[in-house]
Amino acid sequence: MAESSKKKRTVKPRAAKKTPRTAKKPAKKRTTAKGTGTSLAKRILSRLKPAALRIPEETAKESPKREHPVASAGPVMQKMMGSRGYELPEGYSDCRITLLVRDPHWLYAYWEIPDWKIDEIRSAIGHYEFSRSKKILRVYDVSGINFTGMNANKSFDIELNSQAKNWYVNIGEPNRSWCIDIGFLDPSGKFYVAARSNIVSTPRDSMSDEIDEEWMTIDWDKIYSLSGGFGLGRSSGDIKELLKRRLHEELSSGFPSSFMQKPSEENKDFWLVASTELIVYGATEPSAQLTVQGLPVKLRSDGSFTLRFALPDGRQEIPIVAKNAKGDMRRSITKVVEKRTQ
Amino acid sequence: MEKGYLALVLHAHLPFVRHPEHSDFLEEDWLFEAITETYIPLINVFDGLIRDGIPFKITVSLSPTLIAMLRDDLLQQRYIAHMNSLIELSYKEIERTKWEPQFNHLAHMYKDKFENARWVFCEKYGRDLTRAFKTFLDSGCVEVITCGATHGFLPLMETCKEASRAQIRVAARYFKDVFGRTPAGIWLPECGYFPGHDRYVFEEGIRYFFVDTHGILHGSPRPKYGIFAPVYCRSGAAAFGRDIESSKAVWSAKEGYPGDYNYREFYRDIGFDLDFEYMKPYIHSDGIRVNTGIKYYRITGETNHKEPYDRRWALDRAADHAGNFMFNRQKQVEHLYDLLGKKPILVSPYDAELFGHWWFEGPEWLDFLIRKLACDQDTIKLTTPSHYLDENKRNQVIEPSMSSWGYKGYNEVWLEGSNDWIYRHLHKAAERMMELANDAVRSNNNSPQKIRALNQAARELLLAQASDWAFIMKTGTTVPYAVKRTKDHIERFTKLYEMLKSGNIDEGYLADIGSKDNLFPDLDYRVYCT
Repeated sequence: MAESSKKKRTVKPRAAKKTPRTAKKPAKKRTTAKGTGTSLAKRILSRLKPAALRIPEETAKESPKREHPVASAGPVMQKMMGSRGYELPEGYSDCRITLLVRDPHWLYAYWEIPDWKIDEIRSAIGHYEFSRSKKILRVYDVSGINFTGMNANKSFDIELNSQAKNWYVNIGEPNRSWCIDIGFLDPSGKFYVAARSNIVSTPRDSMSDEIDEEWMTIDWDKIYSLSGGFGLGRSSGDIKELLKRRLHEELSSGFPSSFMQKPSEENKDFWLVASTELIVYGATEPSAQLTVQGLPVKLRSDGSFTLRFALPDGRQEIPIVAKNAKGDMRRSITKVVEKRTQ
Repeated sequence: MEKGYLALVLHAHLPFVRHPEHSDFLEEDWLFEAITETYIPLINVFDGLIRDGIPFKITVSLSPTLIAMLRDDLLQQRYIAHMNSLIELSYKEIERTKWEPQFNHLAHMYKDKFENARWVFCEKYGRDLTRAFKTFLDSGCVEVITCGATHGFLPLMETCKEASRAQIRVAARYFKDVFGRTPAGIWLPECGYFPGHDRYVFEEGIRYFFVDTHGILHGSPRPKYGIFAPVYCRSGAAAFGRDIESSKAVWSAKEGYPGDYNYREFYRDIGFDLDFEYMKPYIHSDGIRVNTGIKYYRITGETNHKEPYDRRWALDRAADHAGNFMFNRQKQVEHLYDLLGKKPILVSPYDAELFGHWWFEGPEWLDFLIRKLACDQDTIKLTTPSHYLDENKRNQVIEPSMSSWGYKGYNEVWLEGSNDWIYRHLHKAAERMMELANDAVRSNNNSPQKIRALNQAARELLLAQASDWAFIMKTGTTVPYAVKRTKDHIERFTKLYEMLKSGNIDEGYLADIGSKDNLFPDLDYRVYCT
């Protein structure tokens, strides 16, 4: 009997587990063809594509405001949540901007500018001028300095839309320190700061320039290459690329996602499965001994019994024999079943 | 004489999922499946090796949330009920598959496994599997180490340093409560390292932690031996870097062992395959089909077509793969030994739940590997990081680079469009916790009730910080649960914060959440003091 698969799925363990599930995604993905939220084929493709080619896809942009996907909750969750449902506050009446490092090339900033602060800046700029001002992030490179607000190594501005509450900032350069001001730029180019962030440092994305003196002679490319598992005879440029690509392979699971139910049902072909089972049931004296196909069967206290068998193609002879407790009485019934799948 | 070392590291972790308010809760199955399919099979492997006198060394990190669940009375009772039901099902399966021998002997296999699991759980270790790990730790074969208290991803907690420190400190203290000693090492959650956190590790008396390959490679100054020797941070804690080649052999979708066609197919479970009425008593009480752990097919190939699982073929493959892994490590070690002029150490960390739960034959692979390493060769010696540090006292001093073992190597898995909204709340809660702790310590008027409320607030913060919630939001599976957990713990924290600020503590509320989020009974809120 054909036990065909119900689910189309790849057999590649890590890949199969991480494809997106049924939960609706209310927000657009920020980036495409690179996250785990894409098909395996796409992901393999994106792995092969040098990272450098993908960079233009990523420009500084606001992360989408995400509706919390309660709507897609399954029945259990809906029951659990009931009518209650705590909503987190929009903010905490703070005036601040917080900076986090995402990776060597990207920062993430979130902020909260309360109305009183905006009013304050509006009065300082003047109502009319304020309406022509731009809300911006000013990103400062503060590597190696004690930042005063005036002495940044360099800076650049990102214009925000008025609704934005957070932003991913592409700073392009690893191993530097950064600080961000959020504020308003008036038409004359004067900048009014609403809040200044914490200072963060991005990690290196390649080997350090610092070398212990006694080890100047080491073949660093070789060490680097072997450590990255790339074998020998590669240039440092090659290896840097290879490592970047290696980091895009999934060699860890984070949370053991295999616990999370079933694999993706996306791209599933139209399918049908059908199986058969046979139920044999009956009753005799509760004290009797019963065998089915020669094997003893336990009776319920009322003398009834039920057996359930997966029924393969072919012919089954099922002798059912009962003997009374004393062993001097015997009854038997034989069922013959034939199944075919066409 | 050996030419190098291999340090196998299994990282066991599950988020704290315990819902006394519901009689049947889907996500609690994560723990039950992991106990039956991973923790008990691994315990059996270690017990068997010790019984047979096979010398071995392996490192196992147990996350504090996992330990808390393994020691929880309610979850222990529920696990036993779960196993009783599963064993009943396995007997029905033996009967049902009577005319299909290829499935019938598998039904017997599952029945035996489940009965063994129940016996190991109830009889051998008195319902508390941490006792097994205590025995292994005392034997010197298994170095049990700790992890962040609730597996919080530390690189994204930097806005309030006390929060990262508390994750490490609470973990170290809890470990000491359970195992009676300071953990030798720590698995930083998701291998997430942020420069400076080594100091928190060292402050707790923990000797070492792990980083991903590039954490060492991009450290400064340059690591003389690459990832093939640990480094010391200036704080005094040692960092071990992950070896890529051995990681790939197991993890990689393309090259990894677990995808072998003879291995068991994870996604064909009778919980989904069989008749609804028949399965009804064994799935969720709301009729939601779940995995039972009874799976009859092998991976077979790339298509939907699946053939019955053959245990003998699968075990043959596991033995082959163990041999292959050993051979490759021997070659790697020999090559490195000549090149470095020093015995290299290969550090191979894996999620423990990969073994048995996902890769059904994983525990047998590990068993074969350890036995082969002990009996068939002398190029490689199994070691643990602390053993290595005892034997190799001089190591280069470098500052590792920020890194994680997540996709792309940094923080993006836990900081992207689906989950970035949580951080403004988590950061605020951490600051408030620090404020509460500092205020309370300054005040000399702390009632026992106030102290309980402070400790509970710390628990809620820790639970909200679990990296699992952000990870689940990103993967898109069971997202509503992760969102709800984040909100629930922030809500509970915020209510406690407001009560503590106003001085009016609602005892009923405190008792209620205290009975639900009951982990770390001896937690002391003062870990959040500046």
